[in-house]
Amino acid sequence: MPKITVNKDVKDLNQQQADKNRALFSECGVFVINIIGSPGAGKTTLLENILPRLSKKFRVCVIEGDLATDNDAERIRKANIQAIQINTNGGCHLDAFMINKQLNAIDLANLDLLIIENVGNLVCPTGFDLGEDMRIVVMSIAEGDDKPHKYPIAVLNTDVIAITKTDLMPYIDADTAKMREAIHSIKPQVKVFETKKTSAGYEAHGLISYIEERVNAKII
Amino acid sequence: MHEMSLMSGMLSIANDALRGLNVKRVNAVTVSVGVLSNCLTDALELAFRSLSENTVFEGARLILCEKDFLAKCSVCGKEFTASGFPVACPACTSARLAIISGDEVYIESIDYEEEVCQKSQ
Ligand SMILES: Nc1nc2c(ncn2[C@@H]2O[C@H](COP(=O)(O)OP(=O)(O)O)[C@@H](O)[C@H]2O)c(=O)[nH]1
Ligand SMILES: [Mg+2]
Ligand SMILES: [Zn+2]
Repeated sequence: MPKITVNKDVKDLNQQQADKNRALFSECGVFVINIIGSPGAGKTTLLENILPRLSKKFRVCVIEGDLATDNDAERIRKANIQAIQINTNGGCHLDAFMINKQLNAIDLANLDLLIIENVGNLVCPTGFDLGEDMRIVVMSIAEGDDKPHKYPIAVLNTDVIAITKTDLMPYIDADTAKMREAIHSIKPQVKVFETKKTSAGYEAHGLISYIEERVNAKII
Repeated sequence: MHEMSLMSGMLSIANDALRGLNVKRVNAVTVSVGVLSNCLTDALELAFRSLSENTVFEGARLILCEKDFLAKCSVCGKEFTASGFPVACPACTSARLAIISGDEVYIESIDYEEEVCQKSQ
């Protein structure tokens, strides 16, 4: 009986496209961020609140990935920032091909920063490189401080984690110090930032400064 | 959800691999499943059954081969099989590592039956 050897990983095909995307972004001097986290972790809220400051310094565009609706893109457009919605219609992650398809709608030559909000999911998107320079995994403290242990691959495949909703700490039995410890037991070199809503607004200074630093290092 | 999209990607790669071959039907598909891939074998099986309907893959056996988590220490370079997280290098105890394998899901091989050509008798 004939047998044929295949040994070809879907992720390898994605990787080839991601490398092409990355080369194109570098050529155009665009810094790209891929934001990954569970549904409701606070990804869009984080974006809404860091974009006003980032867009003062950089020309910014956002790609929103969701199973359905363009609600999140609408939320971003309210801040007067170009936002493109990708609906995956059931697909659990964005891949490098989907990103590439959107690029003709974006003026890359006149852009500094492209931020992609991935489909709400802490498992599937982690294996798919989009060609980004930086990945931010968003975990809210409300999800529990042992979350990193439950999703070690998400931690292992990122350089930055934003612990969101730390204003909720007094109401829940979870501790950001424990969450940091859990993260660093899996990957010691991950940079961790905390963000929260307060009566004075949304606090994400550390993360914003770090993003500014990284974008400047690439586009200048 | 995850298994469904991975399986549909795998089947499209499998279709490409079989193109131009004289396939009557597929008997078995062997798939590597890394322990870190977050794939449930039952869900992969179900995805395969539903996506293979009315294709050459319908009725084929799905053979799932679990693959270990192989890591390489980023500090001392030692390669080792890890059992889970957190990981400590057996040589230098560092937790800094790179995944060598264990997060992959892909088709290794396909066993099929050839269409017997009647005309050339
Ligand atoms: N208390 C509090 N609520 C937050 C914070 N960030 C987000 N939320 C709320 O969490 C819910 C989900 O947020 P969203 O940004 O849509 O999550 P996404 O699915 O990850 O994009 C919304 O109701 C937000 O108002 C935060 O820092 N503190
Ligand atoms: Mg969102
Ligand atoms: Zn070591």
